[in-house]
Amino acid sequence: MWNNQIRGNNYSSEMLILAACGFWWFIARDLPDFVLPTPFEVLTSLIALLTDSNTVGHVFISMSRVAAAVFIAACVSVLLAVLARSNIFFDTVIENNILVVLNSFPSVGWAILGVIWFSISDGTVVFIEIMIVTPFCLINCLQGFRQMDLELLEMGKSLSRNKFRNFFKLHIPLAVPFIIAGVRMSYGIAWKIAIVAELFGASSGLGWLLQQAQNQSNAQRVLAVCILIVILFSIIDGLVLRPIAKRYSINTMEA
Amino acid sequence: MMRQITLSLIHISSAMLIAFILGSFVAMLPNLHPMSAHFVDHRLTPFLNSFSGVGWLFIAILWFGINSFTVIFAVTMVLVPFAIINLRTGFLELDTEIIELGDSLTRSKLTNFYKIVMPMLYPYAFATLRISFGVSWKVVLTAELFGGSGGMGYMLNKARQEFETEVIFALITFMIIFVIASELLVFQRIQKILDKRYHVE
Repeated sequence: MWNNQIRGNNYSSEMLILAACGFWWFIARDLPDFVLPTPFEVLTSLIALLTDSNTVGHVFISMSRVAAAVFIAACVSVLLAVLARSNIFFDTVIENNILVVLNSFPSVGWAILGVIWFSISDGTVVFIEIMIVTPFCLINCLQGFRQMDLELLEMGKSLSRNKFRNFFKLHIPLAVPFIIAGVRMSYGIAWKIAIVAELFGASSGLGWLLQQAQNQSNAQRVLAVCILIVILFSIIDGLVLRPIAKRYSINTMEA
Repeated sequence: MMRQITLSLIHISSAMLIAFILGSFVAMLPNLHPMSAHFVDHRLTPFLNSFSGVGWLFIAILWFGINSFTVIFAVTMVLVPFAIINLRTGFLELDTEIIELGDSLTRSKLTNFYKIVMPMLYPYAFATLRISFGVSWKVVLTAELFGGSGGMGYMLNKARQEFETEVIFALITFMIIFVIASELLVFQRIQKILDKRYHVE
């Protein structure tokens, strides 16, 4: 009975989505396309976006940039977190200076500075995205390395003097749930906010497509790109990141 | 200069307010109609949460043109998912025993809401405002840069076009100082008071 009720809820929420689309169609019917296109037009634009060989490249370029930026940001955050653990001086500097400043640095600021410093290139985009995403990852990594079970670490020390072995067999596995959480968060932020980087620093990628579409008042394309971003985010998050998070989660952590 | 900063502040505060009201309305829906819980938790929130901020901005420019309303709309749409997630947690964590006690003491739903439910939500409401404040500063500049006719983002854009890097640095430094100062002077103090009152360790 309980299951039935849950299934009923699922159906009703799909129905609500359909109703919302119907409402959208109803409003869009009488409005010109450049103001609000109907759902069907957005869908055709989305399909065109994915089947046209010119545009599908932009999708992959954006994806690889986001992947590179998130990967490098994760590595930098882990490095900084390890550094913070090793020395109380670095701990205060990283926690009270680097993190605070990075965290309140406006994202457009990085975009503008990146373009001025490195001109327009792939590297610039990745640099901007790294700078935007790093604080989110760093917060999680710092927390991961701080909340380690001290008794386990002591046990590790008594079993082996080899510092590297201890680090890779003990520290990293204990911190992984937090690192994964950080990566998941940065991945979301990268798609949501760091797309700004492509508006300034590139002439390719989904951000650039978005701007082109906006310049041409092509509302179908703007909405199609936005929905594509939502889809890309959910696919990778659901198929790759969430299973990893589940695999490594501590019981107390929500997977 | 002062005028542009005030304009940015107005954009931020109105976006925060609207996002808070919208967010609390959506977060309250599952409590009023249990049927909508799945829709809010598994459809609406993930969708809003992964919708690109730049996307909202460009849609707003197409719809409303270049003005303050566009900026406020775009920032609001970025803030709403944060508000929903936080306030929804607050509604889920409500202590049902205390609510039951309230129900047995008075039949008035309004009294119960104001005297029992609201006070239990304060910490979550505050967390929402705190997060919104941090995020909105990050986003408002982008919004003003593309869709605003004034504000700090607009100044940033002018400085960028004239290659006045020192102005860019000055604006960014001012923002960082402002954000850190308000975090230290306002938010952390209120947080301390709340922590004490709600016995958080």
